[in-house]
Amino acid sequence: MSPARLLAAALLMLLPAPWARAAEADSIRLSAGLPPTFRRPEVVVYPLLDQRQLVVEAGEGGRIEALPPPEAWSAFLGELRGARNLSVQMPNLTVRAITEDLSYRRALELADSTADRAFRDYRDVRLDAAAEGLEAAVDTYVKLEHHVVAPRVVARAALTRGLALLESGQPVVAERAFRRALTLDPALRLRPGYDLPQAIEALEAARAALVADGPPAPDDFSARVPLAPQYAGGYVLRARALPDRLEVVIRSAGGVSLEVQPYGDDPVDAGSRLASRVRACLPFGRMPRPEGYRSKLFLEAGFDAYAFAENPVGAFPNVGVAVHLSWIAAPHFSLDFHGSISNGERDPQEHLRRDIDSVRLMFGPGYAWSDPRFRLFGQVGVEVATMGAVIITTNPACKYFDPDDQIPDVLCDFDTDIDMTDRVWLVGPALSVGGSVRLVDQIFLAMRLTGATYLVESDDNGFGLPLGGSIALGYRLF
Amino acid sequence: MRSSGPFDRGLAAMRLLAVILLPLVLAACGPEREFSGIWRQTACGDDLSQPDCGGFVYELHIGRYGDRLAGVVVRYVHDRGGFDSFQRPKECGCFLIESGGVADDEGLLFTLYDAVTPRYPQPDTEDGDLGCPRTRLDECAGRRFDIDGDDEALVGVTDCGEEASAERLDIAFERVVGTPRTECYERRGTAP
Repeated sequence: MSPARLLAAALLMLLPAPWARAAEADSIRLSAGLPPTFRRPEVVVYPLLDQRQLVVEAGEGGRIEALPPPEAWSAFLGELRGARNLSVQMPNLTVRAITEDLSYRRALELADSTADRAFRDYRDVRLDAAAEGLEAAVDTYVKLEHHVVAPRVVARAALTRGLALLESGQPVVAERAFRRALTLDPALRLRPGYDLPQAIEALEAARAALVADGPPAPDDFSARVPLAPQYAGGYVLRARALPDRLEVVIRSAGGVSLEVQPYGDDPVDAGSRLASRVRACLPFGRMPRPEGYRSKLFLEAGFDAYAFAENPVGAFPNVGVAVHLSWIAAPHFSLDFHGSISNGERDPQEHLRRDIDSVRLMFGPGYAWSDPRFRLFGQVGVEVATMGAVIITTNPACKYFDPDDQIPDVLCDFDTDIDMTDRVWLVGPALSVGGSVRLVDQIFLAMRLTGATYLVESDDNGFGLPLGGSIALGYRLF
Repeated sequence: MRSSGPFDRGLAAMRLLAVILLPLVLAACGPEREFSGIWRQTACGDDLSQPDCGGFVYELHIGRYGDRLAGVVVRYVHDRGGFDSFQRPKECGCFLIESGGVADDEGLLFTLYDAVTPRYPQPDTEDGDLGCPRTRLDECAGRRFDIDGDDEALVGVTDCGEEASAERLDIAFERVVGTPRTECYERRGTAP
């Protein structure tokens, strides 16, 4: 193997390989225990619609014996209840959640009054008004999900509408109303000897047709009826029991899926299997994403003062204005920019014959520690600076006289006794340390010490190693 | 005893920063310019009540740069009538200060450059043209001023340096407001 390939192989072995970490199985995650912050999918289970009762013949007085829930349904609920990764709202709690809603209560009063008025119309043989009013009442009940709370009440209203339609000579429309009534409450029956024989016959015909065709699922089992807003982020389970099987519809904002489970010989096992398939359709849940660090941006503006530790004339102050931007991008990590414009004073001997203007720009990463009131920081970066033209002479006569003053060269030779350097550009590493104290709200006072050394110079004017500091007022932008 | 909280610790840190920062700025002191300006002679010799110094009075135009200095010394004919002697028509010689003049916070010490050859407003000017006295027009070669004082007055001596025969005269100056001259010759085209 060539050395290059050997090196590449070694690098590949050292590189972190995200694909090498196998996805953790749900069972392992469950057995390891879920933390309190684990986000469980919210699953809302509606009461079972037991359509097995459609095939039950009525006894004396039109009553039918109430069937106990299928064992498979009980096993299904038990299995779901035990799922630690799900937040399951059981059917009784779903009913309670519907009835405790304030808008439900207000709308229910309106629907009840509409139904009462329609029932009176039916008794007073105002059949058209009764049919119209009952249709409106049933629609409102369904919209409120009152048929989940009290299916018999809603089904009775639908049945009465069918009777009104039948008596007004509209048997076809009446048949649809009977079907709807039976869909809402499969145990609904008319009472022989009390209700009209034609009505009993029509209802029984509708029931027979439903049984023969296979009872349809109610509309709210499908995507045709939108999910209630409060369940928009969760999963709704609507289930119905048929004579030979259990069907569960899983509704969510993402769509609808159907799981069908025959009862078989072991209904408990069937319920468990169905629950497993439903769980497989539901997301496992997720760990809350760790909250990202909220970055901060500080802006400072103030005064800057420094002196060149390396200089040919002796120390002199440079004073100017400065601006500093510090972006705390991660805990204790900052990206900083410091800029200053300053003007140099004269040195004590006034060898400098003109002020030196300087512009210094520093940028680089840094360390920052802070508590609510104080911050300490330090930065290491690169400084780019420019200094204006420099004119230097050590001869006092050259400082006092002008070339026009016609003084002898022995006192001052203006051609040789004065050194001049044009504007220079300088680049080098820079260091800055300091601290700040919050004064009020987001306003703070900051002080920092700065230093730099220049490694790259467009020309050597003799100045270097600026040491100094700044004092500034700052504001936290975010 | 009160325990120090974070606020006190922060202020202490700020003070420490200030203590470090302040000397840096203060160490970079500005230029020393004391004694720079115009000084007119007020007394000479034993009789400090009159400024006559051998028929002349001196006016110093000084520029101080740290511990060095440069400038011009203008000599005028003393007006015994009590009128202002420091008038351009009474100018009788102008001298440049020799390199090597020194200054400190106490005073000045300097020598005239080429003192035996006074300069006049125009290079070809004759002594008589200015009405200068016919005697003692030249200075001794090493004319030196050693004067101390403060920002208002300078007192000291003037002598001829190393010359054995040098006379040594007490001399005093006072500051006047004005812009120091930087030339002996009048610039071409300017009025005398």
